Amino acid sequence: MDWKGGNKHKEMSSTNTSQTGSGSTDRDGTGEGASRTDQDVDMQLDQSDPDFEITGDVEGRKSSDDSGEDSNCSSTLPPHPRNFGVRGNSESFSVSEEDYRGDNADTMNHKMDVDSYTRSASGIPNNFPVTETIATSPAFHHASLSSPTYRETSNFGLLEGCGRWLMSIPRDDVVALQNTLEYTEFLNAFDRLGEAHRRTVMLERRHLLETEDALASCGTIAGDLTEAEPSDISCRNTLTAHPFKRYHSYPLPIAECTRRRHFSFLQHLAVDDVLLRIFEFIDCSSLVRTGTTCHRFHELTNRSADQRVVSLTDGRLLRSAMKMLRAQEQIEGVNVFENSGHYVPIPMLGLRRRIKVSGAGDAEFNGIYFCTGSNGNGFLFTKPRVPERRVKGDNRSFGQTVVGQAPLARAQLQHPIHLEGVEIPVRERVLFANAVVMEEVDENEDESDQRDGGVDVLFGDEPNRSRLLRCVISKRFSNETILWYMSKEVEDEATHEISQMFSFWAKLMVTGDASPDVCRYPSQTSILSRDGEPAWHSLTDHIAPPIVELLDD
Amino acid sequence: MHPKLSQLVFDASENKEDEECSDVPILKVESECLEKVVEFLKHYEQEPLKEIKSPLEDNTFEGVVKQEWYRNFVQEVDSPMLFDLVTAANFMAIQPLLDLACLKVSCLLMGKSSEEIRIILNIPQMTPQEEEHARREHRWIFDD
Repeated sequence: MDWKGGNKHKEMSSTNTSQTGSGSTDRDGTGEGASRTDQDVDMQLDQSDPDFEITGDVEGRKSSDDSGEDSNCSSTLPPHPRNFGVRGNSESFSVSEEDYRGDNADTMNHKMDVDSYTRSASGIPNNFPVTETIATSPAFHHASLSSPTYRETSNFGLLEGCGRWLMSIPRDDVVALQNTLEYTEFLNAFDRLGEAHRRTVMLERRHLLETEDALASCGTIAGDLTEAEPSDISCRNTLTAHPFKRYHSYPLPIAECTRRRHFSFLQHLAVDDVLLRIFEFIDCSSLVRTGTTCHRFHELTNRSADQRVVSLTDGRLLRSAMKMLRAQEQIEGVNVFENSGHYVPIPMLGLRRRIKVSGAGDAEFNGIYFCTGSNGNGFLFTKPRVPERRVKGDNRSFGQTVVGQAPLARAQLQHPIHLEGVEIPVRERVLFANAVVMEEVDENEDESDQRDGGVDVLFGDEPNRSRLLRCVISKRFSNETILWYMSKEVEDEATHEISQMFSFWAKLMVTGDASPDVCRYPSQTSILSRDGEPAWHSLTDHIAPPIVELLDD
Repeated sequence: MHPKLSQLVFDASENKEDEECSDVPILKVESECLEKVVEFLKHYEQEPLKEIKSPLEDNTFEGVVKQEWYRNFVQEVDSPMLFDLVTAANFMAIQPLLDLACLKVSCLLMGKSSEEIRIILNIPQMTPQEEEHARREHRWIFDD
């Protein structure tokens, strides 16, 4: 884990420890918030570490020590697991030796009295890593958890920090840890905390319901009442009122009564699964905004996004860091051998710019297309058909027949075309395509993880059932001529085969007409159109061809 | 009303030894909310709710839920009752009702700013640092 200390770090001290630190206590040298005793240890920020900044938020834990010890957090708080809220990288929790030892290992050695923490109610161990030999103990650089500045700059809860610390314990160490008394005590304390949580939530809920009843009746509460501050009686934020208080009968303005039920759905009702179900329906930009409302939503919206992109990340190897690493090695030529079986497909990024299609006689084709994949001839641009239609059959291993007729180049219409031995008159020679039966080839079929690879050469990366049927712009060969085509996917009701119904075609742009980068995209009407002739042509009579342009210049 | 619509009720009725007593206590759902749940289930037997798939076909509740009765069922309730329905549906394991209520909540949130969402759900505010961190993480959205 990369520890980072902030610009406004404060000292933190813990009871019954002694140590010496090097340098000044704070970057600003004030050492505010520290409470030193002879037994206190000062854990100082290493000012020589330029990366040392506190970015996390660790709530100062109030002393729960019943021994009457100094209630100053700095004297009772175990230094370590709570400071797991102090972090620079939310995802990494490995601590390097260098981070631990600091620059002056000798001067920073300190002795931690593990027994001091047996007095604490939480039972959280104060040493990190879990060791009771302090000979080479690291110097921890923490701010004082009690300092308001520290709390202000850090943004991770105490419990969350502890949770992260727990997850960081090497699994091999857990076996040995299980033999300790502290382990058993911790589990018991953990269970008690769970009970306390449930009790608290239940009391909060009950309190809110009682509040609603009281406010609805506008002051006709019977029973044993205690005086309540008028300021407590507020619909504006019932969460601030003490859950054990009962409200005195107190007439409220009508506006207050009408807000009586406006309690927090988040805090009192919704479990994670329910929230995730709600988020499943929310689009990305709204999901992001929802995630900026509170910490819990921030975590859940990110989780929701992760869940919803499984097929995309799996299909493009983005979920497996090791496979990505192997892909990178292949690009760099590391361990690339002909007979080596350890190779992976290299994830590719689609073309960035969007295609706008408008004016098509078949309105389904109008809209914005994105580069979603590639076929054997180049990039594929797609958009869902409108109204949306989904594949019904299970086409995990499907055969796709290309029907419809791909156009011949105009010049080729002059050549004789024979069908079953009969020459087709020029006038009737519209177009013929070679019927192409394309089978999806899953190159990773032998892989245990069937979600890897399997990119469909025509469908891009969505070969699964219930995916959307699409309008497609792609390059295809017509005899020996390669052209751009616009087609729509159609599913056969009986066989569930997906076929392409072609509607429009266009010649390729060439370098000279446009830059090589632009030529990778479907032919643009503004570039290809000559002498008033349309760039795109319709395969069907009386259907207006589309206008195709590139966006995001 | 078929008990299988609610997995909770179904499981409870399966476990009952006394077949004469068919009452299943549902203690965690308030009566007013339970009335709405029963109303939903009774109608569901006549006209099942069409499955709500994601991604949604439309950004509006009316655009997604084409069945008028279900649209009206949810439109008639206020936010607290809506949240109660979500909780009740989850507790009683009534998937169609859960989907419908969750969809309605989603539609309440869609297109809203962070502050508006906080007001709708009465969420305590993040610290400025947390909010800045969250915005920085998705700057590409907020830069628009």
